[in-house]
Formats: sequence, structure tokens, C-alpha cells
Amino acid sequence: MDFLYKLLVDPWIEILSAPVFFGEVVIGGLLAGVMYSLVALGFVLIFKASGVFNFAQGVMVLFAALSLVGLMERGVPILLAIALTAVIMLVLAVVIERVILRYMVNQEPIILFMATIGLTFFLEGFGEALWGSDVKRLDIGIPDRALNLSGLAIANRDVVVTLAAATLVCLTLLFVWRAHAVRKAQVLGGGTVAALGSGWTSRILVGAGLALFLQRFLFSADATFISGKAGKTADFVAGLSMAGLLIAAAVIFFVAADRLGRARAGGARGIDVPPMHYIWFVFLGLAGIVATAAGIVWAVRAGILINGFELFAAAMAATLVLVLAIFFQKTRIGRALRAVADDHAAALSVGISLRGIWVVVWAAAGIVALAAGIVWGGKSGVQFSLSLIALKALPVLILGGFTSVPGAIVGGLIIGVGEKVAEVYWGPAVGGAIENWFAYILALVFLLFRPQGLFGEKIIERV
Amino acid sequence: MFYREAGQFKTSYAADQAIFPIVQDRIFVLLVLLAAYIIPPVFLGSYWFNAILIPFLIFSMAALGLNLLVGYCGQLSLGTGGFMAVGAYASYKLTTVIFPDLGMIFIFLLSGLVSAAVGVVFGLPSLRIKGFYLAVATLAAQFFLQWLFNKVPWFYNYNSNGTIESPPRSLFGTIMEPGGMLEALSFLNPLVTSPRATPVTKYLFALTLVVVFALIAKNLVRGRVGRAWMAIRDMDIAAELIGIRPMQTKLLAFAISSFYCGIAGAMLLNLYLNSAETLAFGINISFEVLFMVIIGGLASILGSFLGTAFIVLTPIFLTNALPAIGLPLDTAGQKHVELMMFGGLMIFFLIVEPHGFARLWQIAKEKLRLWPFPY
Amino acid sequence: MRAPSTAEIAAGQVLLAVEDISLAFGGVKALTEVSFEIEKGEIRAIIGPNGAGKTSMLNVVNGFYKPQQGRIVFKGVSHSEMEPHEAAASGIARTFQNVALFKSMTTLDNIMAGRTLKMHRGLFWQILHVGPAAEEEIEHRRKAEEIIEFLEIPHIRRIPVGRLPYGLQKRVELGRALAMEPDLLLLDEPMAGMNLEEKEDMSRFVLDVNNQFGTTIALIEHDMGVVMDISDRVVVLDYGRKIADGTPDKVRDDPDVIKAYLGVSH
Repeated sequence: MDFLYKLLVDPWIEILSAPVFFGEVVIGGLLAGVMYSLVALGFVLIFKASGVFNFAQGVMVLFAALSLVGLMERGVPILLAIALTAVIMLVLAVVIERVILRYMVNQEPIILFMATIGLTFFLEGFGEALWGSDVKRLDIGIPDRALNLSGLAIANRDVVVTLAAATLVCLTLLFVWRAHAVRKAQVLGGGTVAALGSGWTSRILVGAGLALFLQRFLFSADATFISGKAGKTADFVAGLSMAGLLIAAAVIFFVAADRLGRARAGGARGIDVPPMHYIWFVFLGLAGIVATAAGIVWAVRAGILINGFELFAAAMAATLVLVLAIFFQKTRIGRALRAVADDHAAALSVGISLRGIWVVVWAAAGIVALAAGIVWGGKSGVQFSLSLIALKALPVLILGGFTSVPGAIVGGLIIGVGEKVAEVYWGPAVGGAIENWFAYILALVFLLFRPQGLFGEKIIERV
Repeated sequence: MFYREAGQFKTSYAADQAIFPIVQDRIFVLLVLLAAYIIPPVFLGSYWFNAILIPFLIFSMAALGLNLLVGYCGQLSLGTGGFMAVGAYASYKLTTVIFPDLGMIFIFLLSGLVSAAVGVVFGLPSLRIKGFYLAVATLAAQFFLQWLFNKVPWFYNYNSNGTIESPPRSLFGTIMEPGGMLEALSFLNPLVTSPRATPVTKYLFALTLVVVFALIAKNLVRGRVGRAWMAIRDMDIAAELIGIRPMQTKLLAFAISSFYCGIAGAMLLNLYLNSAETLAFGINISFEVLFMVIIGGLASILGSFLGTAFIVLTPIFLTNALPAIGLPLDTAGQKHVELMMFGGLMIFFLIVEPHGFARLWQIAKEKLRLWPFPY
Repeated sequence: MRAPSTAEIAAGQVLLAVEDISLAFGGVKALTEVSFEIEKGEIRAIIGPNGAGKTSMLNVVNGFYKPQQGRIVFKGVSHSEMEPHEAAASGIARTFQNVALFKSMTTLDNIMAGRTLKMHRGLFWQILHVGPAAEEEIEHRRKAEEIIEFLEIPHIRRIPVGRLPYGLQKRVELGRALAMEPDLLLLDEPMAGMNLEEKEDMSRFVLDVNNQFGTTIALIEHDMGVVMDISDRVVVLDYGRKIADGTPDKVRDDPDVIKAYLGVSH
């Protein structure tokens, strides 16, 4: 009984009785999740373009971090060292293609997987032989301590909040654009998502949201944004979150209307229902935006502690994702990459160089590994255990889907928060240290309901 | 010249379906078995048993089990270490608390059964997910089981140091010991576990277990069950449409595979380590066993042994060979070079022969068929 | 066509009755209210232009797709849906448009796999592989060899089917289906991609199966010559609807069918 009480009742009471602490746990989880995402991202890149399940991603993080520290120890200034390490990762990609991948075209996925495990052993030995195996400190000049947001100088706070807001706006645009693309591709019947991207009603709604935001921002009586008074910042965020809420409400309204309309039209069971996948995508995205915005407002007002270093990691991850998204969607190489991911033979037949593409993805994964190496190495020191974060990224992968970049991000956040909350509130009841497996079980339970992962393509089996 | 099947005509389906249809193969296997039973006990010292032969046999057992699951049934699993831990902890609980009088042979089989049951539970996701998704899902088993045995004191009898130890037990238990019902047979009942048992006894026990279970594996894969596994592996939809039930087939594969791994775990504790913590059954073991299976050859019983030999012997070889050629390395440096060479060799063999040593063996046999004539 | 009466189904003249089947994927309707029946012992062809829903129809019959509406009556038992292995157990076998063999297994193993449902020895005997299990194995090996003889493929007995040419793979797949000793055999384009000679061989096998074993056959085929020659009755589908049903001669002259095929008569 006591055990059940500890498992089922106690945690909820704790959560409700100390919401500020819970908020800190959630934010800590989100930020840790961002770091998992960074590692998962490297996996996704390579799997997407070459179908290789690259177990060496973790050791690539270690290798990058070792190289960076090694260079810095030899007196190279940090920015130059980062650039040089990037070059090293590039060279590594070329070598891997030349020595391994080239000879393994058309092999079974499991063989390639095993080859990357061989690569893991090799790189581990090589990196440590080259740079030494003692634990090293990586100092990149960002303090790894808690920042009290309410205690910050106002200017700083504005910077933080502006950055967050800018990210949110970018994300909103991304979602709207994505929804638009989906609608254009005629994947959805009816007006569900069209409501988000175009159509007069939705434009009016979005416009209203923006107007509301601008009204709070420009015409608020007490102060100006530039002079940086607290009230203004809060208003800024409040306006943003209200705009988000309005958009979310619009989506809910339209989805509901759409489904109702269909139901009334009396389509047979299973007929004409648009893929829920996309609706979930938009829903989750918008809900996330609203929640983040509201969370920031609340965090600022309640004076929650945020780790400055983790915030830096989050910003870095966001930037990387944005760059990668643009790279994948908008450039010629990106298109070639997607073509290769779809079908190797078909891509070859239209003149895409498989080898070139492989070098590009491995190099990109190397750069992502460098980013992850900077973040993780700066946080916990550079040592062998760094390569084990690959194991942390795997549940993120199955949650988000092996081929989905947004999946890696959202999956990372879910795992990060789930893991931290479970460890803090439920861990004591079962003896603690559940971080190792909780993420896996969480991902597993999720998979049982959605076998292809959060954003994976629905597999239609045909014979 | 010597390896010819020409002239060996089969007159019945029974002869054609024998386990080794070619006469030379039969002779060869018999010779290897004889050598395995006679040469090491007579000629080799305890270093050979403790460092090479016994670990080889234990991991062969695990590799056999994993090959049934991955090679034959096509379900990728990274939970081997966890299932071995189940076998080891089950054998510990069984010998110390539940059946202290029972002989080791029965303890091993029971440990295998416990592991099989756990394997079925963690095999359930395979009904919904495939490939690497499943592989990662089986890691859940690995981490969860390791945590469980670490955190719940019942599993290690509330020891203060959290380790499990192999108690001295004989092959068939007290029933054949002085005072037991079958006292007269006590010469058949040697002490097989704990440091007090001789390496030779342990080796012969392990060898017999492995030989019997290799035979069982071979029998399984050449019959109905094996065909059902391979059908699921090659094309699960078509398999279902000819009446093979995916659920039963996959879960059976998980059960039998975990059974083998469980016995291997029990062997690891009782015949090799003597005392262990959960660390001994970590994720590294899972990867190593998987690599044994792949480098040896997926869907090959012989391959399981060849792959195990490679993974067990290579590090020992490197450790001894590197100082011998006079590389001026400190211990850390030597460890790094070993890692690099091990990784490099893995990649090299995968590039040269992705179908594993079993395929190389097959090619060698093809060549032998013609030798010494060019065709 | 009139619907089969319950009396007829009970009397066993009608082996399979498909009643009012509708099937859709997302918004795409693959089948709309299709009904027809297959009588015991006949060769029933299903024809229609590409995308008419022929393969979907077979997939519904052997349980791979679950229809949104309608039911299937097989051997007098009504199913609204069933699992593929249940269909197999009740006596429906199947070949596929794109060969679905177990590629790394040999011809013999593929055909033996087809006999899985007929083998009953449990795990214990499987492990020992002597006595009953070995006897069972040999008894079924004999059956498998009969099928191999019948299809004239003894020379490829030991070859992994992935290495065989397409025409032979199709034949092995037929062998695997025959090994199930089915009451109803569904053939999805058994002659696709074959040359004239291979088509003649395959037609002969289909007719022989029908004659010698009395197996009822439903086949999808694009070659009108073959269809007209070997089938007893023909169902024509177009855009997921049945547009004609009857003897080959009758169907050939049906104005709707001619229209569906753009007036091209074969």
C-alpha cells in the first residue's frame, strides 16, 4: 500500500504543492532534451540519406570534443579551434567514405550497422591515442550555473526573451509554411489545414492575432521596448502567447468543423478522413509554441532558475535545426539528398553521385557531432563516457522516427522532460537511477501505438 | 580428391535429410568432437581453460541463441546481455534459496526457462515493430533488467556488496551425493561450480551443454519451426498468407533464443566468473554477441562458433602479439592500439565477406570439392 | 446475375460468395459494392483495366485487407473479416503479382513451408528430430517432391529461389500454394512478364491443377487469349465496380466491357 501510495499519489501532491519547482524540473528537462536532440539529429541525417544506422555517432561526438580540446590545449584560440575541428570532421567524412562506405554499397542494413560499431571501436582508440585518454575540461566561456531570470538586469532579460520570441516567430512561420506545402501537395482533403496557411478566414484570424500582439507591443502605455522596462517585455510575451492561443483556437475550430462536416456528409467508415499525422503535426507545433510562450511569461514572473549553459545549448540546437532545414529543403544538394533517401538506384539513374552525397551527410553529421561535443563536453568534461550519449539518443530516435528531423527535436524534448520528471518524482519510489531505462520504456509504450514513430511515414503494406 | 560427394547417392528421403548428408562432413564433425573431448583435458593447462576455452563455449551458447533469433527469424535484438543476466540471477536464486539440493544441470535448464519467459515479455513489441526500431526497443530490456537486478536486493539475497556468487554444487545434486538416493552413482556426479571445481570438469560440462544445444538448434532450424522462422524473416506477409502465425512464431523465437542466452548467463556466472555484478551483463556483451553472430554468418550454426572464436581470440591475440613485435607502448597506448586494430579488423572482415565466416567455409568446401583438379 | 440462394451455398455448389464488398484507403475507393460467387471446381477469371481493384479483391478474400462493408461466405461460413492465417487455415491459398517467395530459402524449403499448416508435431519432437517428427518431415517431403515433379522443377530443388529467373519463381510460388492443398487457389497474374512458351506451360499447369486435384481457381490475368481459353466464367471490374459477369463469350460481347477496354477487342 505504502509503495502504491508513493507511486500513484505522492508525486502528484508534490507537483501541485510546489509548482515553481516543477516548472524548473520541466525546463531542465526541456534543455537536456535539446541536447539529446542534437545527438539524435546526427543519426537522422545519416539514416535519412544512406539508410545506415550509424552507431558511431556517439563516438564522433567524443572524437570532435577530443580534437577541439586537444587543439585548445595547444594554444589555438577557441574560434579557430572550432573551425579546425570542423575541418577534421570533414576529412573524417571523406576518409570514412573512401575506406568503408564505398565498399559496402548495397549491403544489408545490419551489416552496415555492424561496420559502424567497428568504426566506433576504431575512433575511440584513435581519438584517445591521438589526444590522450585523461578527463579534460572544455571551457567555452559560458557559465554553467543557474540564472535567476527575475534577478537579471533588464537588458539581459530582454535579450533572452527577444531571442526566444524570435525563435517562436520563426517556428510559427515554419509551421504555417509547412502546412501550406502540405495543402498544396493535396495530401489533405477539405479545408482542415488550409485554414492555417491561406483562406480568408484564417488570414483574418492570424491578422487579428498579430494586431493584438502589436497593440500590446506598440501602444502599451507604460514604457517602450527599447528602453527595456519589465512591463514591456512581459507584454510582448503576453501578446505573443495570446496570438498563439488565437491561432490554436482557430485550428481546433476548423478541425472540429471539418470532422463534423464530414460526419454529417455521411461518408462510410474510414473514407475521406485526412491523415491525422499532419493534423497532429500542426497541433503539436502550435500547442508547443503556445506552451513555450506562456511558460516564458510565467517563468519570468515567478523568478524560475534557468541554467545559462543549457539555454546556450538550446539556442545552438535551434540554429542548427533551422540551418539544416533550409539546407535540406531549399538547396540543390538538399534535393539530391532527399532523392537518395527515397531510392538509391533511382537517384543514381538521374545522375546524382551517391558517394558525394554520402560525404556531405557524414560531414554534416560530423558538424552536428561537433556541436553536441561542445555542448556536452562543456557541461560534463571530455572523456570516454561522452560516447555513451549515443545510447541516450536512441529512444529519441524511435520516438521521433529515424528519418524525421522535427521528430528528433520533438522526441528529444519529450524524452528530456519525461525522464527528468520521472526521475525527480517517481524515481525515489522505486529506488532511483531510472534515467537509464525510463526513456526506452517511454519510447516503447509510445511505439506500440504508433509503430512508425512520431513523424515517420505511415507504412502502407501491399502485396 | 578427398572431399567428394560424387557417387554418394541417397536412396531415401531420410538419408537425404540427415543432419550431415555428406560422409566426409560426418567424419569431420566426429573428429572435431573427439578432439574437443580429448585434447584439451590431456594436453592443455588451466590458462587455456580459463582464458580461452570456457569463455569460448559460453559465448558460443549465447551466439547460438541470438543467431536463432536474428539470423533465422530476422528479429534484431540488442537485449542479449539482459537475458544472460536473467539466467545468471535465476541460477543464483535457484541454487541458494529455492532449490539448494538440485544439481547444476537442472539449475541451468530452469534458469533458461526463466529467461525464456522474460524473453517472451520483451519480445512482445516485435509484433508491432520491425528492424532497427525493434533493436532499440530491445535495449529497453537490456537497461531495465540491469537496473532491476541492481536495485532490488531480493535478487542478490540482500548482500551488502550487491554481488552474486556461485556456490559449490555438483552436476546432479545431493541425490547422488553420499547419503542421497542414488549414492552409488556418485562417481558420475562431480563438483562443477565455484572455484573449487577443476577447470577440466567445468570445461567438459560446458562442452557437453554446448554440443547438445547446438544439435537441438540444428534440429529446430531444419524442421517446420526453422522454416516458419525463415519465412517470417524473408517475407512476413507471405508467411502469414500461407498460414504461419506471426505472433506464435516470433514469440517462440524470442523464447528459445532467450533460453539459450539464459543458460549462457548461468554458465558465465557458475563456470567462469564465480562472482558477478550486473556490470558483467552490460550492453557491451549484447553488442559483442551480435557481432559474433554477424561475423560468423547469419543463419548458420557453424558460423556462431566461428564468430565466437574470432571475438574471443582476437583481443587475446592482440594483447600478446603487440608486445611481441616490440612496439614501445605503455599500457594505455597498447589499449588504444588494440581498440583500433579490433575495430579495423571488424570493418575489414565485413567488407571482405559480409556473409561471415560461414560463407568463407562454404566457399572453401566448394574449392575442396574440385581440389586438386582445376575443374 | 442473380444472387446465390442460401440453399445453394448450403448445398456446397458455391464455394465462395463475395457479397456487397466495399473497400477504401483514405479517400480512395478501391472497391464499391462488389458481389460475385465462385462455384466449386470452376476456373473463375477476374479481369479489368489497371487499377480496377482486382488485386484488392483478392486481398480482401484472403484477409489481408479488411473491407469497410460487405461479407464473404466461404464453404458456407460467413466472415465479415478474417486474419490472413485464418484464411489460409480454412483452405485459401494465393500467389502474388510481384512474386512473394522466401528468397533466401531453397525451392524445396519454400514448398515445404507451404505445408506448415499440415504439420503438427510439437516443439519436443522438433527438438529431437527423430521418431514422429522425422517421419512427419519425410512424409511431407514426399508430398513436396510430388509437387516438384508435377511442376517440372526438380533441377532447381536445392537452389535459393532468389537466384532463379522470374518465370521459375512464379512456378515455385504456384508450387508453394499447391503444397497447402487448398480448396480455393487465388492466382494474381500468374503469367505476367512471361513469354508465349512460358505462358503455355503455366496455362497447362493451371488447367491440370483444376482437373487433377479438383481445385477451384480464381485468377487475375491481363492476357485475354489466356482468359478466354482457360476460364469457365469471368468477372469484369472497372473502377472498383463489377460491370459484367458470365461466360467468356458473353462477357466478350458486353458493351460495357468493350467500352471499359476502349473498344479494343482481343
